[in-house]
Amino acid sequence: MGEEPPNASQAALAVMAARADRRAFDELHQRLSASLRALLERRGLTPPEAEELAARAWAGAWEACTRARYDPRRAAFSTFLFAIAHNLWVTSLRARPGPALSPDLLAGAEATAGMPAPEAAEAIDALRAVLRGDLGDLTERERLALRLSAQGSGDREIAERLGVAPSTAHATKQAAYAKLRRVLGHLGLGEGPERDGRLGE
Amino acid sequence: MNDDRLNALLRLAIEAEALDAPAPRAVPRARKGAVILRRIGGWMAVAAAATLAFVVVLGRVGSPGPTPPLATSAGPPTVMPAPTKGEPAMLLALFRGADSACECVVWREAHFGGRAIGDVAPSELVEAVLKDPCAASRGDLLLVVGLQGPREHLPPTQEAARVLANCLATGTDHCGEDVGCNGAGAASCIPAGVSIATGTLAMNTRP
Repeated sequence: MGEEPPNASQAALAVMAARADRRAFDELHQRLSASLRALLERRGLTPPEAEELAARAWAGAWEACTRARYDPRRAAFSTFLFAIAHNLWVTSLRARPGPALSPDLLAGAEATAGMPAPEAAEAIDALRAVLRGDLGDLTERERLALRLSAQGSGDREIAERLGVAPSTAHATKQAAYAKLRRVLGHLGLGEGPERDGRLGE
Repeated sequence: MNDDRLNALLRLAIEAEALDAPAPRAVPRARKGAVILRRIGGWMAVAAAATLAFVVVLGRVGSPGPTPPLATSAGPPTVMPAPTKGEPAMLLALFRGADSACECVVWREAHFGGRAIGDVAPSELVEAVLKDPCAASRGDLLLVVGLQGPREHLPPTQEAARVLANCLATGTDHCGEDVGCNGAGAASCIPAGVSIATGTLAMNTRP
């Protein structure tokens, strides 16, 4: 290994971790573990619960790395880890029924329905790239409309932020959705788990 | 993919951005590194302890220990449905050869008297698959995964099931009959919202 993991970028560490490099994986753990636990706590888990679920997500990620099932070209490591944790979280909800979910949390739980973690990670990573402006041909206004909409803003609030009429904000949002679908379609990510069989081939 | 699902995925993307935000390091490097290795090792140790040679074993996956408290924001609450009698249970069985290669894959709906997959006895899970023609002469090791969840969460076609089988096969090909190892290996393969139970059987020890 030519580069010391502590100085490496996350992308470089992901490439090394994907080859089951334990030092690189440990460094990724160093960098991301606190954020993952915090994220899970924001979903309502207590610190011990978040710790437990995060540990399971890390174990799953390590298994994926050792079995060459994580491809850093398809998703950032952080997104892959997030997808595993998200799926575990969703499954835990189903395993322990009873408590109620807010509509937002329920929608989040259903968002990756039918998607194994590698596929969910790829879709989520593509959307992160779109929001950053690194992927797709969305305008800055369209990206802002998407972000605001995802954060719960309605057409009227989006219109205020964009300085346009609500109808224009709605049209901007719809145009952005259409472009998003094209981006996901080009990646083969729009039609469910049966789309091409490449995950295990 | 409709607008609502796109929006929900976008929300996940925004949430995932937080993972890359700088976070304080509360634990010294060496110690923390040891923690993750110990954890992963711990999983394997637990798995090893659970392994029983020459007998059918069953492991529950998808039922993490802690109960997450929910309902954290305003608005009318919605209950996340638990696996119910009405939801289909599917069996995915991998018959593996001596080199762990997949010799035969079975994917079909299973009926266990309307019970949730978690309530199905280990012997029933495996016995259901042993009736399949695949079991006649193929493979040294059998891995059975029972899956239960909303139909839209489960692989809709044989081809989709084969994708899932490939993922499971790759992720667990070193596990043998080790239930915990198989469970950890399956963690990144199983779609969200699907509860599973795994069972293994050393075929070459069958009576």
